[in-house]
Amino acid sequence: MIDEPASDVLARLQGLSPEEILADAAVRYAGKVAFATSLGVEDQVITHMIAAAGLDIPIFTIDTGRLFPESHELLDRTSRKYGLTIAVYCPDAREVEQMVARDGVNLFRESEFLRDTCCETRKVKPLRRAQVGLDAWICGRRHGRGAAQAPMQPAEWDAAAGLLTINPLAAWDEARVWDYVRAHDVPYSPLHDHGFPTIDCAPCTLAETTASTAPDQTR
Amino acid sequence: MTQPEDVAAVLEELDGATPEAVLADAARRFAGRVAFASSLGAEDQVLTHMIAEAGLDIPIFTLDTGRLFPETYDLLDRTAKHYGLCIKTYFPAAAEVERMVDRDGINLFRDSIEARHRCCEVRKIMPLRRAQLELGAWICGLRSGQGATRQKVEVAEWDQLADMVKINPLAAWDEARVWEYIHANDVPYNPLHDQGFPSIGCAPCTRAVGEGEDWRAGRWWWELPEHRECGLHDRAARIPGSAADTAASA
Repeated sequence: MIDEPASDVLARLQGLSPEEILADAAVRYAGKVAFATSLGVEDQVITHMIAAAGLDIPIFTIDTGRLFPESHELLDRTSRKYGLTIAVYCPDAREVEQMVARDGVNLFRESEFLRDTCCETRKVKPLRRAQVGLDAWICGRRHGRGAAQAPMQPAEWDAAAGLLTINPLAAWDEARVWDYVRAHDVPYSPLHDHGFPTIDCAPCTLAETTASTAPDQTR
Repeated sequence: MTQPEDVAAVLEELDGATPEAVLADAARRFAGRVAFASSLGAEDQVLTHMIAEAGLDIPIFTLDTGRLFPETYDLLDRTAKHYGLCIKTYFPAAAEVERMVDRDGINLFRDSIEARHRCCEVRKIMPLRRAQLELGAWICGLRSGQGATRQKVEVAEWDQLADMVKINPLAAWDEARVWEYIHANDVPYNPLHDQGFPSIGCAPCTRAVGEGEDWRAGRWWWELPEHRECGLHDRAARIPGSAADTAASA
C-alpha cells in the first residue's frame, strides 16, 4: 500500500520529464508497478522509454478479442523490436459466451448500458486481474486527450482500482508525442496514419474523417 | 454416442439427396445431439439460411478465436438478427491464450507449423471440443473442390478426432451453385468474399487470392497446400500421395 498522499506524489513529480517520472516509479514502487499499454501512440512512446532505460516495469495489454488486426501486428512488432514480453490479459471465456448468447456479439450498439457491459467483460475485468498485487499503474493519458478539460496530472488516485495512476505524458501535447515517435523511430499503428487518433476495439473506434464527433472523441 | 456404421447408413439413405433433405434427416436422426458449426463463410451462410427457413431444430454455433476480421463479427450480428436466431459463440480459455502468448508471442503462427497448430488448437479446436461435448454428430459446410485438402468430400464422414459423425450437406455443390443460392435467396454474406477472399478464417492467417488460385491459397499461405487446415477437419491425410496419406496407409 502507498502511504504517501497523492498531493505529495504530485508535488514530487512536478516538472519532471516523462523519463524521470518512469524511473522514479520503477524504484519507488518496485515490484508493485506495471504499465498498461493499449498500443496507442502515447503508450508506444512510454514502451520505448521503458525499454531504452531498461526500467524494471512490466508491461501488459488487454486483448479484448475485438481488437483491430493492426493492433495485434503492432503488439508483435513491438515486443520483437524491444525484445520484451508484453503480457496479454484476455476476457473470461464463459463470461464472453454468456454475454454474447444473451445480448448478441455487437451488443454495444444497442444501448449505453450494454456498451458498458461489453467493456466491463472484455476490458475492465481482465484489467482488474492484471492489477492484482499492484500499488501503482502507469498510463499514457495526456493533456488535451478526451472530453475532460481539467489539466491532466502526472499522478492521480484511481478510486475504482484502489491504485495510484501515473501519467508520465500528462504534460505533453499531440505534436510532442509525434515528434518523439519520429525522432526515436518508435513503431506505431498504421491506423494512426488513416485518421484514427485513438485506437481501441475495432467496432467501437472510428476514424476522424467518418466520426461526427470532435477530434479526440472518436471512441 | 454415434458409431462409424452410422455414416454408412446416412450415405446409403441420402444418396443424391438435396442439402435441405440432408439437414432435415440429420435433425431427425440425431435429434438433440446434433449442431451446426458455422464459420460464417459463404457455404455456412447457405446452411444457416436452410436451417432457419425450414425451422429445423439444429442449434448453430461459431468459434470466436479472438482474431477474426471485424467484418466477420458484423456478419455474425447481421445473420443472427436477419434470421432471429441465436448463434452461440465459443471463446478460447483466457488462461490458455495468455500462457501461449506469453511464451510464444501473439503472432506465434508465423514462426513454425508447430506453433501455428498450437495457436489453432488453443483458439479453435479446444473451444470446438467444448461445443461438441454433448453431440453425436456435427454439421459443416465442407464442399468437394475446396482446395488441395478437400478434393473429395462425402455427405457423411466419420470424424475420428471428434469421435462422431460429420455431416456435409453441401458436399456435392460447387462454388457457382453456392453463389447462385446466396443471390437467389438474399443470404447475408461476408463483404470480404467480394474482395477476393474465398475462404475466411482468422484475420492474420487469411488473405485474398488471385484469379485461378487454389480455393484455400489465402489460408496460411506461407505453408504447403497440404498443410492448410487448422486441424478441425483433419484432411491433410486425404490428399492422395501426400506424406500424411502415405503414412496413414502404411
